[in-house]
Amino acid sequence: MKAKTEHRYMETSRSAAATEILIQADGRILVHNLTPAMAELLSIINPSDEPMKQRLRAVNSPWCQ
Amino acid sequence: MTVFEEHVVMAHVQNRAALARERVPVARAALANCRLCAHHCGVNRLVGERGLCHAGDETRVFSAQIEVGDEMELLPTFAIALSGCDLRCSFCITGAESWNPRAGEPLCAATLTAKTETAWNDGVRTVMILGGEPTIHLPAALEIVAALPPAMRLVWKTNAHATTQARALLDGMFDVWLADYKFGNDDCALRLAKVPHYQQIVRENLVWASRHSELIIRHLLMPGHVDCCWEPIAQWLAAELPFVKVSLRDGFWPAWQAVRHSELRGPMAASEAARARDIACSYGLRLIE
Repeated sequence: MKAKTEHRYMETSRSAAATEILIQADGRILVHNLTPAMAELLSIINPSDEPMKQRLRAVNSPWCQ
Repeated sequence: MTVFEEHVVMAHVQNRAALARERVPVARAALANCRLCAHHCGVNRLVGERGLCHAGDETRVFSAQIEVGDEMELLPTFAIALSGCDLRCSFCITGAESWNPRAGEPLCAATLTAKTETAWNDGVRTVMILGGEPTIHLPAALEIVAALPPAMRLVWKTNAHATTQARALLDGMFDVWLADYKFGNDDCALRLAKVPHYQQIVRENLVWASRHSELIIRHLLMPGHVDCCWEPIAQWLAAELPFVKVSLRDGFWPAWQAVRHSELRGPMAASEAARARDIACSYGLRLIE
């Protein structure tokens, strides 16, 4: 007999850091759960993205020394 | 800051951990007739009854990591995301975890505290407790607060759908409330998040939060909802909470079940986002990035 699967209660887990990105047709990238590593990567992809640079600076600020 | 002021601040935050510890059993007992959120289900979560959020007495964590995507003044933050939520937003970016309180892993306070302390030592500026919606897991949230070192700056990221009872338990626990104001009218709230009487409830929570902690109000712009949702919100904020910081987010994406609503099948157009910012400026809102 096939076991019934309760999709609504299916367990999921994230053991590692995770970021979700959505690349739009016009090339814009939306990001959710932005980690410092992903911010660094995105900043390399588009060095002119000032908001991303600001977020990277937050990681490198005196708070993070 | 003078030595005296420092002493007062430290006394406050040390008191916070002790208060949180005292409140844990009170919050846990409240699950027997759960009215932590404004749905007022009144179910006994301690014996397996489930209300609209489907949460029981267990709290699970679906993410705990350093993030830099929130408001600049909070960054970097160590974000602890608890599974389950009392709203049913069709466009929820974490729908799989927010609609399912059994997602993620069981909360282990000792492990989580250790991870948080590591992040703090690495230099995070704030520790953020979010969801889903953390209000439905108030006993666990208080346990976390009780276990954290007093110097940490704590952020309560919420949908502002709490009851008087929940707010009383939260009073003095968090330095900053980062609260969503999602919908500008009750019809959109009911249609997109299945939540009745939204305006009255969220406004009551926001006014309370503005008087009891630092408050940042966040609004996620939704395509096609600038006139019906954002403008009424902006108008109310200008009239009632003119000095509160407002974070206008334009990164909507058509996640989860957004496709069920024709206007939510794509991202925000840049022109629509720009118009929303113009509205904010016209009302003199205190926008932050």
